[in-house]
Amino acid sequence: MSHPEEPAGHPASRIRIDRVILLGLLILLLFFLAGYHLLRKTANFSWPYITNSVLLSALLVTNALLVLTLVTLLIRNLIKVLVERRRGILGSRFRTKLVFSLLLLWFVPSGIIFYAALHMIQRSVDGWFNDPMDRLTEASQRIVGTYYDEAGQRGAAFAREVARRIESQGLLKPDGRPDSHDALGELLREYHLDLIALQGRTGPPYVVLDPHVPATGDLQEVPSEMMRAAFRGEPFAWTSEFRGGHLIRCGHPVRADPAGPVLAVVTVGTYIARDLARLARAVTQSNEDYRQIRAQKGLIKRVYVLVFALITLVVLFSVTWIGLYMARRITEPIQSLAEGTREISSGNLDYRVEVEAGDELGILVESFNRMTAELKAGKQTIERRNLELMERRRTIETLLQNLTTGVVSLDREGRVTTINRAALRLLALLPGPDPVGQLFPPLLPPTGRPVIEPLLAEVLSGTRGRAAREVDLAVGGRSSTLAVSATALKDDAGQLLGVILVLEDLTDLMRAQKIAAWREVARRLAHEIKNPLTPIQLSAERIRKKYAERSGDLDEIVEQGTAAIVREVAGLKNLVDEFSRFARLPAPNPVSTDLREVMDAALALYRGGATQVAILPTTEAGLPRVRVDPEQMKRVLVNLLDNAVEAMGGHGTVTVAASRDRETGAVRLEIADEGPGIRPEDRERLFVPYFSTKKSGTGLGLAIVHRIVSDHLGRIRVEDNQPRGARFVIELPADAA
Amino acid sequence: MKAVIAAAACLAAALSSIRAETPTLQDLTVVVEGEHYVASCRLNAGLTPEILEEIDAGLETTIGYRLQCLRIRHGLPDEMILKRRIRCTVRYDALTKQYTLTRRVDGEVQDTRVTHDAQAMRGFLTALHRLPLVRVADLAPDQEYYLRAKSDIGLVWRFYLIPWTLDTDWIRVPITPSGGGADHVAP
Repeated sequence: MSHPEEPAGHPASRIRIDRVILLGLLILLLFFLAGYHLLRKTANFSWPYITNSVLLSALLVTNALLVLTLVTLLIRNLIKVLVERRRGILGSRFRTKLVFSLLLLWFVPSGIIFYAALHMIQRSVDGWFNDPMDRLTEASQRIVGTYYDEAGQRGAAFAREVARRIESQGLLKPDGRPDSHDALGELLREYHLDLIALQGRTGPPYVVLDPHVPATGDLQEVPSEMMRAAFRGEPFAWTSEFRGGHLIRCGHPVRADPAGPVLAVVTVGTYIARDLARLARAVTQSNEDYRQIRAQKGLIKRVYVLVFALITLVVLFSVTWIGLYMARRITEPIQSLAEGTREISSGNLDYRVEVEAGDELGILVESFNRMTAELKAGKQTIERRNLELMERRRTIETLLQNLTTGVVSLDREGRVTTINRAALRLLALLPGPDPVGQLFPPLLPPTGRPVIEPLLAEVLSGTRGRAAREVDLAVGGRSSTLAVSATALKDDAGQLLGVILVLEDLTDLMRAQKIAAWREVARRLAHEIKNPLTPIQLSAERIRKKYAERSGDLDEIVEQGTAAIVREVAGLKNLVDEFSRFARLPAPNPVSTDLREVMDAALALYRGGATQVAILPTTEAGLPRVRVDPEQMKRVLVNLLDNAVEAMGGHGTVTVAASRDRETGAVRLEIADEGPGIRPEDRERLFVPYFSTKKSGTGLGLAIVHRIVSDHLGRIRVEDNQPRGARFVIELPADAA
Repeated sequence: MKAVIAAAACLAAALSSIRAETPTLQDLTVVVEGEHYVASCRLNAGLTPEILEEIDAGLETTIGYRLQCLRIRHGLPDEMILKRRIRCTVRYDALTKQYTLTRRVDGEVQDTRVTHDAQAMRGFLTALHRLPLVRVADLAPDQEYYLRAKSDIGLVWRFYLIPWTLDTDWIRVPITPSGGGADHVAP
């Protein structure tokens, strides 16, 4: 699964390079072994071997080739590292730094050592060939040379003397052959010579040899050019190997007379015994060896220099290779990690880095793989939860879509983000384009916009967290009543995100409530009408009876009966007037009003009254203004105060308090008394027309109060007052202006 | 830039100094001797102190000569008529103080001699005398021929570590058949 990047290029090429390096090192090793073997074999520096310079030349060429190879490899590696750095391959910068740092660390001490070694080689090699050594070898050679020279000079003198004796004694025949063997033998013994030979112009030489000379071995002939020179009158001296020793032969021409031609050449020989010759040869060989080494001094120095250069370059190459190896060991996991990061970022969480590293990088790789596994597990968990969330969201959407209550969510700009079918239906947006993303107020029906838009504005402006209204919509010839509730959507930091608008269709409920209310009204009205009808009927029947009886008290009865009828009819007329007044309640004319002024106007009616009821008004500082009809609102207050005073029987305290609801932003008006309070079962019907807990009440006062408050987009409810009594709470929207 | 110029100048000076010590082949002559053309030449400054030291140390030392006889062909490479490779070798015996001199022509020993005379040794190594080349009859009279020669002396070191062949430049003399260009020498 791992795909580590190859910093050295293609993997195959790297393998090839490694093989070349391995092969080079193997060849290097073989060369070293061969050189060691040769040096072991030539430990005594056999100069016949050295003189041909085979070993030195081979070493030189070998070293030169190895140096060239190493330099090439080094330069190649360094160039490759630099090229990789230039290409921006991951890890190349680190590799370059490491390699060059190691090289720098190596270069300074190695350079010093190399420089010192060069000087040491120069001095050492020069020290081998110093003046005392030169003088010693020269002196020894001179001793040997002098001995041989003197032998040669003696031989030349004897040769000249023997030639003279041969000439003077006439020992030579005309053909150049000796006249008497004995005479030559006598000369041999007389001059203590080891050899006398007489060479005529033709034929083989006549040789007389000392019997003491060792008998084995062939006598080499004198070189012909020397012999020819001797026949031209030039003496010669020639040394040759003979029977393990040296034979120094000196030749001299022999003439019949001094001015005559050379008839023969006499050669006398002095034999250098085997031991002495061997000693002289050893001395000479040593001297030759020394001088040959001295002659090869430059070459030896160069070989040493190259060997040192080779060692230095081997170290340099090793350092470079180690640097590259170490860098690769470090950068390969990093490259693998980088590759892994790329894979992870592309979404492949199955990727695993498979690099064998036992150090901290190994821990890093392991941590990376663990992180990847955890990421994968986390991703799976998130995906599972996302699926669950999507499922839940689908469920919620299904629920939302199937709710009979309309739900609309808006963003901060008032654009629709979600809207369910019920809302579309209630707002008559079906059929039509998808409202999601559009501004909500323009989508509203004209009859609903004046109510709902301010409601949204209140919540979106942040003045209220929640607001609710009832709104009557007339869409497509159909009227409906909606309860619209707007709630601010806020995040955990309290930042406004939007609004949730809940639309509840109250049409049927309102209709049912109206029917129920009218039923109650009809029942009450029938009851109220029925009550006076009975006395009227009874009075009429009583009058008819008395009239029929021609009763004496007819006049009185008529008087009483008609009075009762008139009274009851007047009650009926009063009842009808009240009903008419309730029905004719004018539409409010709301203006921006300070509620305290309304309270003052209402309370002024009760100042100086006969009752012992104390009315205590309180108002909160900074109370916002409300948009109400002051006269109608004053009537509300008067109705409630009348009820409170009456309920307390003319004694007690009535509290009138105006404040602001912190949560909804509405203005709250509370009228609390200390009367008997309202029974719970009466509270629901309290604001229904013709419902009254008083014997003399018409049952229309609180209905009118409810109607006025509702016309001002407010709400009214009744609660228990503490410790006793009833509390009427009116909530009115604050004036946004 | 100055450093580069200075280095180039030093290099040129070094090369020129090496060049100045380069031996030269001189006095190349071709004469008719009997039925043959024979060549002679002389190597100047061929025996460097290093070579003389090697000889004195008893190292076998060789100086080579290459002689080539060619026919001139206009517009074509010259035709090789004859090639001779001569190797003059000396080996000094410090005990007997004798120089053993050997001359090989094309690998075959042509001359061997022993001498005590260092001057004779030098002459043997640095001069070729009357070396037979081709028969007179073998050269067409209407053709142009020439002889060129050079000498291989040994090795020198350049830049301390680089072995370099020490040799002479080729020199050439014309060979005029019919006896016009070459001297006639009595056998």
